[in-house]
Order: sequence, then C-alpha cells, then structure tokens
Amino acid sequence: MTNQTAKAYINLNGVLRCLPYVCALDQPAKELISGRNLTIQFKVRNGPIARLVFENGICRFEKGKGKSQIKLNFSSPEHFNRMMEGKANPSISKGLLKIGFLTKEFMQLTKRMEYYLKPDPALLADPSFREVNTILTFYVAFHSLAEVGMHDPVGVQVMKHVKRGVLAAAIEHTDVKVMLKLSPGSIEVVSKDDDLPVCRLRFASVDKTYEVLSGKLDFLTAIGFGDVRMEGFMPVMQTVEHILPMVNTYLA
Amino acid sequence: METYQYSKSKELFERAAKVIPGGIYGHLGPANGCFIPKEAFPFFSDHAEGAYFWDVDGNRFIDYMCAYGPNILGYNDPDVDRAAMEQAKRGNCVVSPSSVMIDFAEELVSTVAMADWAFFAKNGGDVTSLAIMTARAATNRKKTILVRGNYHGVAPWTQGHGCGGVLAEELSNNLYVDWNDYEQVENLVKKYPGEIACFMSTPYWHGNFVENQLPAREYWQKIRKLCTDNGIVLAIDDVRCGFRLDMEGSDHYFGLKRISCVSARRLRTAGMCPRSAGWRNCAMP
Repeated sequence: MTNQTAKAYINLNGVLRCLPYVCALDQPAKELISGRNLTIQFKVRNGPIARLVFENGICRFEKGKGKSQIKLNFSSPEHFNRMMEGKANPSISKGLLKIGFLTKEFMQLTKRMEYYLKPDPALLADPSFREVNTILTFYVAFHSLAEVGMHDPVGVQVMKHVKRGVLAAAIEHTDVKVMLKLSPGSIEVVSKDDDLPVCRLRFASVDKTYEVLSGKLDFLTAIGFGDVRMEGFMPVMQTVEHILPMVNTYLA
Repeated sequence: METYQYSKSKELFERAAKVIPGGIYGHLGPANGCFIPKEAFPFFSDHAEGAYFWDVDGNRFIDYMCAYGPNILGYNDPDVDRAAMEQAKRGNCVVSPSSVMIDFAEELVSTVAMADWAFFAKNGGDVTSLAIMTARAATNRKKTILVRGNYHGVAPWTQGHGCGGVLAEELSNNLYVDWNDYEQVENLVKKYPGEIACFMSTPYWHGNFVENQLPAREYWQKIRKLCTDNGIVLAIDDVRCGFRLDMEGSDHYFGLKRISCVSARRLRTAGMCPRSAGWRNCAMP
C-alpha cells in the first residue's frame, strides 16, 4: 500500500539524501567526486525538489531549488520513481554540456550506494562492509521516516495529533545520529545542534543496529535485551514507533 | 544501597524470546511497558500474596498497579479464592451456564444505579465493541465520537492510524475529540446531523504518561443533554474506572441518568472468574 508521491519524497529526501554519507564513508566514492564542483537539481512535478552539491571533494544535500549546473526534471512522482529503479531517464533542462558527469561519475556514485544498500549477502560477512551498510541503512531509514510522516496518507493521519518534541536516534560508540523534530502535522530531520531531544532511541552497537535493521532481531526483543534503549518523553517515541514499520514498506 | 538483581528474569527472557514474540508482548513486557531502564524491572513473577508479588529472583514488590486494575482485594484473597475453587470443582467451562450467573447479574443490577441488565464477556474490549454495535443497531447510524487517546481495547476500531494491520476503512467512521472539550463534541454533532450513533468515553481521563484528570464541572451533564437531544447513544467505558469513583457506577458519581451502556471488567467476586460485564438500561438513547 505504497503511495507514489510519498515514495518519490522518500527516494529523493530519504535515499538520495544519503549520497553524501556514501561519499564520506566510501573511498572509491570520495575519489569520484574529487575536484568536481557542480550542483545537480532534481525537480519532480507535484513532488519534491532538492539538490546534490559537489564541492571541494565533499557532497552535500539541500532541499529546495537553487543555482545548479545540471537540472533534471521529472514529469511526475511515478517518473522519478521509475528513474530510481533504473527504468526511466530524466529530462535535462540545463547542463547538457556536463552530461558526462551524470553518465559517468554520478552513475558510478549511485552504483556505490546500491553496492552498500542492496548488497550481495556474501559481502555482509565482512565486518567493515557490514558497518558501512548498517550506517547507511540507518541514515536512509530515519531520513525516510520523516518523509513517510509528511507524505504517506496514513503517516499524515498519525502526525496530526502528535506531541511536540525532538527525538534523537543514535548508534552508541559512533557519531551516527539523526534528530527528528515533531509537532502536530510536521516531522523533519534537524541538524544535530538545533534542539535538545526530549527522547532518545539508542542502539547499543553497529552490530546490534545491523541485526535490528536487517530483521534478524525484532525491535521489541532488542529492547528487552537492552540492545536498543528508549528514554525520555514516550509519546514522541511512540509516534516514531508507529511510522518506522511503514518505512520498510517503501524501502523493501 | 543494595538494589535488586534480576539474573533469573534475564535468563528466562532469553528463553522466552526464542519462542514468544518480543519475549513478553504487550504492556507487561519491557518495550510497550516502558521499562526504563530495563535493568531496574522484574520480567517474570513467581508468586503473589495480598498487596505484594515476588519475582523469579525472590525480590518482593508492592503492586501499586493492582495487576493493571482488577486486583482491588489483593492477590490470593481467601474469600474470593475459596468461592472460585468451590465453583470450579462443581464444573468448569460447562456447556450450560451456572445459576451463579443469575446471582451475579442480580448483584450487579442491584449495585449499579443505572443497570437494568447485566451481560458477561471475556474482556473489556468485547464489551466496548458490543456497545458500539448496539448503538449502531439502535440508531441505524454509522459514526462514533471517541476521545483521542482513550483506551477501549485492541479491536481494529479502537486503534489509531498507523497501527500495523489496521485499515483506514476500519477507522473511517470514527470521529475524534480532545478529552474534556465539550465544544468539539458539539461541533461534530452539528457537522454530522443524524449520522452519529454513539459518543464513547471513559468517565475520567486516564491516558498514558499523564495524571488522571476529572472532567470540567457540568461536562457530563452537557454531553448527556447533547446526546439526548440528538438521538446519540452515550456509552461510558467504565472498564478501568468502575468502582473507583462510586460503587454505583461512575455515571452515578457524576449525577447522570439513563446512561445507555456501561462496562466494567475483571470483576472478581465470589464464584466468578475474572470477567467483564456490561450493563445497560433498556432505553436507547
């Protein structure tokens, strides 16, 4: 029961949103963007708009439109979703001369992302690969969660009457953390220093995070074992608990 | 200070997690029960007596929860247990009801001020669902006004949006208001003339993570009049509140007349296992 518009928001603001993390964690990805300075805008009609900025060897994601060397347009959320599945191409309204970056480096970047997010099961036996896979999956899941809350029809209903506050989801012993700011009708990812969390969801380790996110350890049992810890203002936590399983529906 | 240890609870939880979803599911478990931190809570009980229970590690606790409500006489109350055992020996789960059912119904009808009949069910959720069905049948209407955050059981219609397996269609006839806000109820009644079958609420607010709260003065009187004027069944869910404010019913405490349906659960009286009961007067609404 996925909604195409919600899926487009998740694909852009949840999945492509995490390309900067790939560029930070993966050496081949770092090399691909080294020395490249340009911005790609993704504009989905009746859907999301965002940009990927490549600058001085760093990639960052920005919501909304802005100055861009390459502009990619999509006629509908379905069009964008098909592109994400490799079944459609965008319309290029600007940057034809830079199409080489799109067809070479950018394509390879997305393949590096896919390499980690849709891995060959054999690769997961390698702890260092599993760590990157887990961290990226964590970021994708919690960024997507905000999009489900804002754009999925059921998520919108859930968000109507939520309690106000910030939830911090983090993996212990790492600097991996996503902060979600909730208020009635709204949920958004905020920067780490914006607000003081009212509740925290803490995963005990990368390995335990992997077990939970891969479905090898169910969330409730993990809490019972202390592998996931909840603390703080529970009404905000419960909202996130309601929406989190819906994220799986879109990312599966 | 020496604190309780829970090594056996932990050991049992590891066993349980292999064969039971979540190890302990629902509000008795560490996740939904918000055991924070989980190291400070017992997971499994060993035995209980009076106001106390002992966990599997031998730690003793005062059960301020009264087993989530019903144990107002304490655990192993000798009179209750003796009467229950006597009835069990006479026949347990027999194909025909025992005459004790009539005794019990008479006791309830004479105790609860508004009650004309008594009806028994296995839990509170069955009774609240029956109340909704009865209201729909009596009014030939579909919609129900519920107070946001109230607990009426685990049936799909009682759940919120986003609960796994609950369809939007199952909630499509629910209308929601905030607790203690008469104007919101009145606005919905104006917005859906002739469509609302029932207004259901607990008599006082006992939401999660908040203090219990009594309604504003005259709240229930105004709701009663609004329902009567508009042909809406007023259902007060006394499942958890029953006999707390008033032995004659929470509606009696608030001075209401002719409540259409009230339920109370887990009545543990001589000769009856914990059950739910619904009672109503014969006038609808």
